[in-house]
Parts: sequence; C-alpha cells; structure tokens
Amino acid sequence: MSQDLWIYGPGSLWVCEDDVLALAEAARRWSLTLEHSAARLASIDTTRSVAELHQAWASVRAEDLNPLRARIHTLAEDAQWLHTALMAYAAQVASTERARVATFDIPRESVLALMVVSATRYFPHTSPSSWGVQEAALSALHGDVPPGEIQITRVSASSPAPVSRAVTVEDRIGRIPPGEHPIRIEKYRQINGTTEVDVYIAGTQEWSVGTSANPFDMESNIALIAGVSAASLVAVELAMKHAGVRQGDRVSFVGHSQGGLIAARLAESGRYQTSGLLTVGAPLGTAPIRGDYPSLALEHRDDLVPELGGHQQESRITTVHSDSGAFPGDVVAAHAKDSYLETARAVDDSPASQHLPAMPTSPGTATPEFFSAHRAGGR
Amino acid sequence: MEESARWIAQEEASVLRSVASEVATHLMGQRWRSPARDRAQARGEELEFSVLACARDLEIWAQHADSASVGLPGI
Repeated sequence: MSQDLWIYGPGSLWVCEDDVLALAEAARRWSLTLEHSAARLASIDTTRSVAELHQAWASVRAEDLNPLRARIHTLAEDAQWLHTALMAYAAQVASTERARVATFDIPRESVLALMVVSATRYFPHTSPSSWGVQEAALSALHGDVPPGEIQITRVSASSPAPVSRAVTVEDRIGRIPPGEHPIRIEKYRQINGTTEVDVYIAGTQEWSVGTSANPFDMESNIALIAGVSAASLVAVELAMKHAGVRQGDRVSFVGHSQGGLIAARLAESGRYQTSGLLTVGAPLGTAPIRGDYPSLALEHRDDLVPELGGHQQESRITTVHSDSGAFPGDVVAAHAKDSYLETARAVDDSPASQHLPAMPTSPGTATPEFFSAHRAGGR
Repeated sequence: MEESARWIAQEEASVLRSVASEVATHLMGQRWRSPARDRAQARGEELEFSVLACARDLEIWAQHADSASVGLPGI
C-alpha cells in the first residue's frame, strides 16, 4: 500500500512517489519475464515437428507458435516502453519540483531569516535581499563564539545486553536515545581487526538560548545552522573519544532533529571514515552532503523543523518526504521521533526501498554505551 | 532433461497468466493522479488483455500438440 512517499535523489535529479517507482519496476520485470517466455518457446523445434504432425495430429500446426512468440516478444517491448515512460514521468516531475523550489522555497528562506533577525534583533551586515538563514543565525550568535567547556558522563545502561547491528531504517531510528542520555554509541569489532561504529544522537532538549546547562539546546541549534562551533557537536565528539572511537574509524551517524544536523556535520567533517548517514526531521539546509557514502533523510511535510535549516543547498543526500499523519497544526507530533518511526516502517515496507541508499551492515554484536553531557561552570 | 513441447507451452501460458494478474493488481488502487498515470493505465490494461490473449492461444496450442509430435532440439 502506498504511503505517499516522495524521494529526492542526489542533486534533486529525480523525484517520485513510490507507486510510480513500483509500477516502473514491475513493468521492467514483466518485460524480462515475457522475453524469457518468448525465448523458451523458441527452443521448441518446430521444423522437426512439421513432418511428424502429419502422422499424429493433423489439426495441429507447430509453426503456429512462431507468430505467438512474436506477439509475446512485442508485449515484452510494450512492458519495457511502460517502464521507460514511467521513469520519464518521474524525471518530468523532478523538473517541476525544481521549479517549485526556485519559485517558493528561496523567497521563503528570506522570510524565515527576517523572522530570526526580528526575534533576536541582531541584523546581518549584508543586504537584506541576500539574507539567508545561515547569515541570520550567525548574526544572532554574535559570530563564531567558542561553546565553552563540555563535560561528558558515561551512563550505566539499565539493559547492557549486547545487540546485533541495526538493519532496517526503523530499527536505526528506534535506537536514537531518549533526551536524558542523548548519545548512544555501538562499536562492532570485525574479524579483520577493524571497528565499525554506529553513533545515535537525540534532538534538542532545551529550547532556551544562553541559559541552559544542556548542550542540546536552542543555542547549539542556531550554531549548527550557522555552521560554527556548537556545544552539542563537541559533546558528541567527546563521547566518541570516551568510547574509544578514533579519527579514521568507519562510523555511521544517525540523528533526530538537532541530532541529525550534528550527524551531518560530523559525517562531513572528514575526521572519520563515514560509512553512512541517516537523519530524521533535521534542518539540513545549510549542511549539504558532499561525501560519497550512503545518506538518507526523512522529512515530514508538516514538520516545521527541517524548514528551519533554510533552502537545501545542492546535496548528495537522498530525501524521503511524507506526511506525518498528525492532526493538522500539531507540529509537535509531526516532529516527534515516534512519528518518524512510523514513516521509517513505511519506508522499509515500500517497494521504493530498494532504490534508497543502503546503510552499512556487518556481523557481530556490540554493547551500547550511553552518554549525557552538560556545560561546565553552570548557567 | 526431456521436456515435452506441450508441457513447455502449458507452463509458459501459466507464466503469462501470472504476469497478466500482476498487471491487473498493479493498476488497481493507485493514489497518484496525472495524465501520465492515465496513459500508463491505458497501456497497462492493453498489456494485461494482450498477455491474457497470448496465454489463451498458447493453452489452445498446447491442448492440440503432443510430446510425440513436437520435438525439442537434441531429443
């Protein structure tokens, strides 16, 4: 059953509902099946049978198979045409979508930036016509100010049982920790001596600016959007260091909301060998993905948070858009991790899932480690 | 393995019927709406009926053919 998913490929090259992709894929399969049938019927030796037919079944003409084979071959071509036409339709829709983004999304970003500067009363030192969310966020922070000292605490897990590595999108999102321990790290030792690491990062916990001891606050959100040092990003890297993750290790990052933006910044940092990136409800507009690794973002159309990142710069990330299923106007539910879990399930079950980037998998088990963080010195 | 032409024809007719059935299933209950979808629907229905017609003709041929009267290469 269709979940009305829209998939944006790298560079917005194509966009398509999963039903269209499913039908296109099915048409390609029918074409192959029909070609195979035609070829199999061609293996019947009609030349030999003609003489024998006179002895046994005078009414049967084996050569009647020839036009039948030709018809089946033509049907295979028809199915292939259907496949090509549907893919062309997807490309055409992509073109329309690009035009929509150019017409509506970019002006909307200026309006968003105007809202930010109005609320914070700090104005970018550039022409208002070129205001973007990134400039506005940087202005609100008074520039790139260091986030201060961050302290990390390893949390004893209530259920320290080893787990196998997550396979499905739903499973990965389900492992994003609750807010009190916003960082979860799993390390999988490989037979060849290398280590595969999965880092799961929660979203914003405090919605204040400049008053919270929790690094996962609005101040970090603004810093991450501005592309400058953020306390929450520092906290995640410290936790990784505490867990024994070294620069150059193969790491996949998974995050919700602000955690997704941290995940994207770390994946692109070049300090790790990024093996995958999965974000849900993250404001990625100012964090384009350039690296050659599987990357996937889930965004609800009625979730306001992804919009806070501004217009998405050209990026290699594949984005799935869907409705959250929340009541109209219920922006909290539309952004909630639980809502994204439902969407993740739909993505896993979708016929389009085979077209999505494959996240890393490996054998073995790992005991998850959880970390909390706070700003030293208190606020 | 020795296979009769009749058996092959019957089996391929069954394959064609399953393709037709799959086409019919895929064309039902789609939520996307556009002129492109209408064209895809029309071509799909055409494909379904044509595949079914081929399956029927193949079955008729198989009913009249016999393993002794139609040979396979090397048999």
